Amino acid sequence: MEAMRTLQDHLDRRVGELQRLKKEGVKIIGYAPGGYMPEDLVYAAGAVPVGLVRGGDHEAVAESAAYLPRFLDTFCRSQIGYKMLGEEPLYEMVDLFVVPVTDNNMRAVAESWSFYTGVEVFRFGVPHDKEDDAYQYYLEGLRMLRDKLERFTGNKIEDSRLKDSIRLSNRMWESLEKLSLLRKSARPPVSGAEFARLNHASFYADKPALVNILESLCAELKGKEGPGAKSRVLVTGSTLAMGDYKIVDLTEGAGGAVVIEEFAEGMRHYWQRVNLEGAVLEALADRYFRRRVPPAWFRPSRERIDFVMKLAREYAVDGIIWYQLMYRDGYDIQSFYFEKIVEKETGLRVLKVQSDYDRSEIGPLRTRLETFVETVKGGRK
Amino acid sequence: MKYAELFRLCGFEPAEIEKESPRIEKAFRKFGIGDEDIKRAEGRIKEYYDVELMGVRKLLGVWMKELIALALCREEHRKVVYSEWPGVQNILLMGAMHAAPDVYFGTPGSQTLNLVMGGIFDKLRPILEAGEETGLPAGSAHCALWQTHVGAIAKGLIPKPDLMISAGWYCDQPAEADQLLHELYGIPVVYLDGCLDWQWGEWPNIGTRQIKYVAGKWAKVKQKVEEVIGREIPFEAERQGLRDNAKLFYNFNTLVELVGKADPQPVSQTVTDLVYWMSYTPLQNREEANEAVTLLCKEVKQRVDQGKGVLPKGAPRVYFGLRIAVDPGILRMVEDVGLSMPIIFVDWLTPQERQKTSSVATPEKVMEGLFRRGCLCSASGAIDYFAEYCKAWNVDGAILCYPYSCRPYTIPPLMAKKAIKERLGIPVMVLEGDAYDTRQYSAGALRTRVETFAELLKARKAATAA
Amino acid sequence: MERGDVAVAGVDVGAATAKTVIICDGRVLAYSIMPTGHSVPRTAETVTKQALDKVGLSLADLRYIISTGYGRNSVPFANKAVTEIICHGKGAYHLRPAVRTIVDIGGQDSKVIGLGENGNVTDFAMNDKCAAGTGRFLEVMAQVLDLSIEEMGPVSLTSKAPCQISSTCTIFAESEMVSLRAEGRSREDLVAGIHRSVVSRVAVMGRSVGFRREVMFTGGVAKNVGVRKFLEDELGMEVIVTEEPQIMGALGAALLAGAELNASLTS
Repeated sequence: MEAMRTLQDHLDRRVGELQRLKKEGVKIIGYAPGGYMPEDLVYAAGAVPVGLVRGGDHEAVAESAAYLPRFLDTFCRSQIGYKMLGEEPLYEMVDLFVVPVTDNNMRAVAESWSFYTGVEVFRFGVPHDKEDDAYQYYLEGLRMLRDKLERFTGNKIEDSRLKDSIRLSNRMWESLEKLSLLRKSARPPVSGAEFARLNHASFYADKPALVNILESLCAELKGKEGPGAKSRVLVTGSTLAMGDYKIVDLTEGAGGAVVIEEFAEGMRHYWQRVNLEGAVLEALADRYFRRRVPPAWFRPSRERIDFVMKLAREYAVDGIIWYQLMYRDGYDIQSFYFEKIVEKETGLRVLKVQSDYDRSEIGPLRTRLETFVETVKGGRK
Repeated sequence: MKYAELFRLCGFEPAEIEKESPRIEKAFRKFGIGDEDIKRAEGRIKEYYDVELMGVRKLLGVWMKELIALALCREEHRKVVYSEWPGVQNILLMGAMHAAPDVYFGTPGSQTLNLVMGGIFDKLRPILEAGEETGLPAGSAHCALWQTHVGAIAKGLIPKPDLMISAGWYCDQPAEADQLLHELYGIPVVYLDGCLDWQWGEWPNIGTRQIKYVAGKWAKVKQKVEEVIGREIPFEAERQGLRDNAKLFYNFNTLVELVGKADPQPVSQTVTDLVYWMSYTPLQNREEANEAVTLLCKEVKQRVDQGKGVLPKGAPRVYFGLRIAVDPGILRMVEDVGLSMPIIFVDWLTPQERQKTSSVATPEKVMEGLFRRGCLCSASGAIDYFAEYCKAWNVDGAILCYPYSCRPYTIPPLMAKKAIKERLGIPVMVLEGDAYDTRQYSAGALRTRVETFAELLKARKAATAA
Repeated sequence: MERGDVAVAGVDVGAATAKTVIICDGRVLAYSIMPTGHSVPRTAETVTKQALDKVGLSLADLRYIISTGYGRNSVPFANKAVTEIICHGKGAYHLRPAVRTIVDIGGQDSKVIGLGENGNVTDFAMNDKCAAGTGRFLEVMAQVLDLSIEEMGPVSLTSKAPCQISSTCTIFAESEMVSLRAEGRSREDLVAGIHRSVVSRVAVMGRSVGFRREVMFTGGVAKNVGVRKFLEDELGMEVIVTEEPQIMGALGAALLAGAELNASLTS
């Protein structure tokens, strides 16, 4: 695929490009990849956003033990590990780290960076329900973020610039959605492995360049067919981090196809656009908070479960993989009844997989996934 | 069943035992408490609690009555409402108790079962295991309080309530566990939510944004409670609830200061722990609890005046933050190795607060009071607050515990150790444990660390003295 | 033993081995080491008797005995029990007063101990109920690889590219071994990887205590040349290993026993 090659070329150059921008005085704003940080505010402030979305490496987990006890979510622990190891260029270059506080695991990311690193951290809260007071609270958080970014960069966030940036984001989401819809095909032209990497690229690629690439990719793939698969799988869970591809790769390596994902963190959400009529911060809050399909720790929990079941039906999957990281309590508890509800309402089987980013997981996991891909084949009721 | 001695140890008069015997027997049968358990409980009470003091016996009695009331709550009340830890919303329920005496309000998992079935009977294991089988599996660091709560309901040990109030403003376990119960059994839930999104270093200037948000949810919780119990909670009742809690808190504060300021330490900290769990709890026997604390204060004062103590005078003093609660044996072990603990709480009044006579009057004030306790707010708050504590109680060292299963409490200890060592120059030990489950972390397993720490502090004291 | 001299002893009953050291005036008269059996009191008695036999003394000749180690409270003939952390500090300081950090890796736990100018323990960290980073971990891995525990260290030094062993759990590390072997990694690389993983666990654990010079390495695992080499690499400094690193706790206990006896005689 021509567009994929262009993207890879772009990504290969991107870190150097960001380093050059930083040298020129452009602020690099890191953010936690839970889908609650509107990048457009950063762009409109003349800065560059970079999602800190790395995961899957044992070294970062091992390193984190000196700073946080091991009973917090693995991805969240890894974040202080990467920073302290000092080997990830994207983690090294951030001037400000924005952390939407979604739960205590994510709060641990913010707190550990504040205490152990010299990087300034800015937090704002994400409430756990969608009632009006919760929406207002999130909106207030966006206002605080806007003010913070203006102070930090010294640039005023003008509505016109913000709207231009949002228009570009809308195009990005639209392309990602189109690509995703292509995977409904019995022979998806994009594999799960490709889609996950594309999605992750969007956390640090230059947005105008990325949008062009995504749009040409959509054009390129229209009407194309891929190889088809033994069985079609939906993957859902807490975090699918950049670099943590074992679930997708092993599933597809076993002849299955990951045709759709739903994650709290690490995979960009692309189903909604920002409505540009009316007040712009409110429009962002509406898209990022009110219409965003919530993570497992929202109450009541049915919105997410219903959405996952809807995806499962629309993408005609044969089975669901629940992929969570160790000690992410909200997901672990929900998995217990998620499985019951899904099996009762869709007849689909759910395979629960937990990871601590440990190499020793690979062998047993390969066996489990191979078996799953075989046994759910045509297993829809 | 031979329970007369047990209840005597719990401050019951013979006539009271006789009068209560039908309820006692029914309750014990319900919880599967037999002669062997009663014997074990007697032994544990004698070993861990200072039953020489009538105040201590009466406090144990209050808890025993809580267990009995919990066992019989369905047959003795029209409606049943549970509300667990963190229990700030329970102040509202104390008011509701005045408005609707025919409704049972209780904190079954986090207090009654944990303290009585766990702390006194050492019989929590089957309940915890039931929780592990019902969605809060072992090995995933789930909170034992919620394993108890879910396990007891799943096992049918306690009735399914008409409403659960779930505090999600601090950690997610309560709300996640109650969502699970809601999905499994259709039990209605209402959430007291909030967001811990203070900036680093913002504490103690905590502002009003987060406080107002939780207080707003409080109003919704109240509305839901009224709907379920079919009765309004009038303003006067709510005020009365706040006064009830403030009264116990006032007495409790007297006790904490008495114990903490005395040298030698006059009584084992296991007794303040018994009272701690009564604050923010809708007690069935509130007046008795108040009387017991008042009596205990008198008895402790007497010991202080006589210079009597459970540790030698001049023993090293440690701040033992977030003790491992379900096993009083752990507190006793720390005292055993010669460490005096002036204070064992992480969410106690700040030094400034103790100087003010704060009247808790509104949900905003209540929440503000809580967030003034740094560890309930942010890691930077926790660090500053722990350091302030160490200064205020003039300690030689600090043991910062964290229950491995508590996400918010696991965040600050390693940072606080570094910060306190740097700021105050005193040794700090981080101790991993479990607040509510002793299967993983027993007093024996923790002993080497605590003993070494005690030796280290004694050597330091001796070196400074020389 | 001269007339008028008094012998005292330290008895260290660890999870894997029991050690007794008998000293007189700060000089080691004899020591003995044996595996800890099922009964702590019996093992303590036997190991002490073995040491006594070497110098023709009997239990009654010991004027003061301090027990230490995880079984310290089950030694019926001891006058006092002191934790092994304190004892390691005493022993190490006695042998090398410049020691400021001790890395002790024993059968079931590992510790990093900070010492002050006067040899007092100032801080310490200890592993939480997990065998990774302990002697037990090495033993299990030796079995998996069909090597004797003595062969492990020398074999590890022959590797040019140690494997990454990421498991934080002994059980999972076993299965990791199996899959690494299936990938065709050499035995030397596996063994080296295992050693490095033990060291990195301990190094991370000890970060809060700090590794100040001189660093002494004690415990049974200190005899393992591989762990020692990887520890030196990891810390970027030389570590001291005494001739008999396993008896450091018992030696410290014996020294403390001597001090206790002196204190009681002078008072």
